[in-house]
Amino acid sequence: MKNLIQNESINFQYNPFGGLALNEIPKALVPIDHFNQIQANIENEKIKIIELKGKKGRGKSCHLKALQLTNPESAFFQLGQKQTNFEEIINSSKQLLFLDSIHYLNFIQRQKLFKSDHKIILTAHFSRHIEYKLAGAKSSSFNFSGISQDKLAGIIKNRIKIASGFEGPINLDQNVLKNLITKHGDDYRSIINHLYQNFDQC
Amino acid sequence: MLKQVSRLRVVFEKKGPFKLGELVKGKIILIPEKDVNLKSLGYKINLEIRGLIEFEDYHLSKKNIVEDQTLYKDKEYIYHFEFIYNKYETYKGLNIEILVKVVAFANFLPLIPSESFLDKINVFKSDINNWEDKKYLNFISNAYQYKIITKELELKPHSFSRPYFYSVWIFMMLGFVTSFLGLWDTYKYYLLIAFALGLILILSYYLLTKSIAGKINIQFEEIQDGKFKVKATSSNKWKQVSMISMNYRIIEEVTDNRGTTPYKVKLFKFNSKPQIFKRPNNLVESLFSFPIDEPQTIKFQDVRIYWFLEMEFTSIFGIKFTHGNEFITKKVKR
Repeated sequence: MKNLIQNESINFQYNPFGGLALNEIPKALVPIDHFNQIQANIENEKIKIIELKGKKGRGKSCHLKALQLTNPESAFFQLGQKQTNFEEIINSSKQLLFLDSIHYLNFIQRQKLFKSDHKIILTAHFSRHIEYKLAGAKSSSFNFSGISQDKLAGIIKNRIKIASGFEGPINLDQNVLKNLITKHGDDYRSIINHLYQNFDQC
Repeated sequence: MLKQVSRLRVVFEKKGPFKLGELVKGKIILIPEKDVNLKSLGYKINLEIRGLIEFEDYHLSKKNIVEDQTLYKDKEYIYHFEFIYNKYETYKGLNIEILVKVVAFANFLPLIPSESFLDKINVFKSDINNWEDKKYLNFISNAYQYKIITKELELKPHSFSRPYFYSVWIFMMLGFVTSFLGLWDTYKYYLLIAFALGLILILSYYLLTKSIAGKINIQFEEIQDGKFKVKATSSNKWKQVSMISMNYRIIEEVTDNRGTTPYKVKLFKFNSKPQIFKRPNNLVESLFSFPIDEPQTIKFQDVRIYWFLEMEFTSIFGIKFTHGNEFITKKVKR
């Protein structure tokens, strides 16, 4: 890969394209256009479920974590690999719940949760609008798809700043960015993973 | 916004890399921008795992250097410290990095909070009463040798030989593709037979491998000059085996749990030269060299680096089987 980072004087403490610490996620994130609308819907008492939907690698989980940090009076559950107990979720003392990867709960558990008193912000690969309707819960859905060169550049620059502490302007080769989008489409994670594995050539 | 109350920096006498067990000397420099009451100042050492995984952070140690002190505006305060670190080496692989982070911290007694609404809702701003500066240091092993912790091991069937794998795969795919094309009703009996054949192949593979290889036991023996011996015996005394190829690998495995779809990535970091034995007798002995500058066995939440002993044997009927298992190693002082 041709050099993406044009600056020569950046000293990296580690590869900037790896997994981020929780407190680094908001610093790396370039929020989607309707980020403020999601936040407004969280505060809107009439809306019970907020769904962040999209294919893998489009930034749903990152946005979910960043949203949870802006709402500290809430609980975050990473479903799936991290053996979370359903009882722990449904009996949570927090009213506002952030659930990553809702598909790891079965239909009955999901219905129980959607009918509960909790307000839920969740990530899903496809819309579960019918399930929300079935549970009688008002919902809103936000789609995570599409990519722009500017947004990708923003994310890469933010990550470089976090990993290096560099505060000056960062110059990225626009042709390399363009080629990354041509090759990986709007799969941000695939692009970031590719950059991780090819960092020595960046 | 509130004005920054102090400047905090951590610096080290040398850049590194440091040897595990070496005395590391550093200093924390603090220049307050106004008179402040310092509650505590010190450093902590953390281990960070970064890469194609969810970030992992392990707290290793923390030490307060000074507590309860009044500091005056624009005066430079220097606090020297030293420590010995001898836990994990730092590591840079293709998919992960293991990093040692030294964080200098200074906690001040609460100042008057800002009345600004923006300050109250901005959770991403630095905490005005707690300051930090961090440096990442590299640590390498000092005059080490590898030690095999596992003394005995049983090898298990761990992968299909290629012809078997392709046969089963073709049968399974046939079923899915024809169902997808709507041809299931027409060809369902043929496809069910194909599917059953696939299952029979899997079953027969395991039965065959068990009856031909028997129970394979391994014993490790360390020899001087960076070598180790592997002694392999079979409960079937290799009667139906015409050839054995034995080697070991070092594998970096990460499980990426970020996002909604987890997946595993494996990297073969090291492959030893295979040792070949034709018409083996009861005891098969292999002499291997340890690698140069490779990591020992490591296991964290979503990352592991493991050493794997692999044995491929060819039966007298020409069918190949692969058995293997993990063994644990450690770098120890020579």
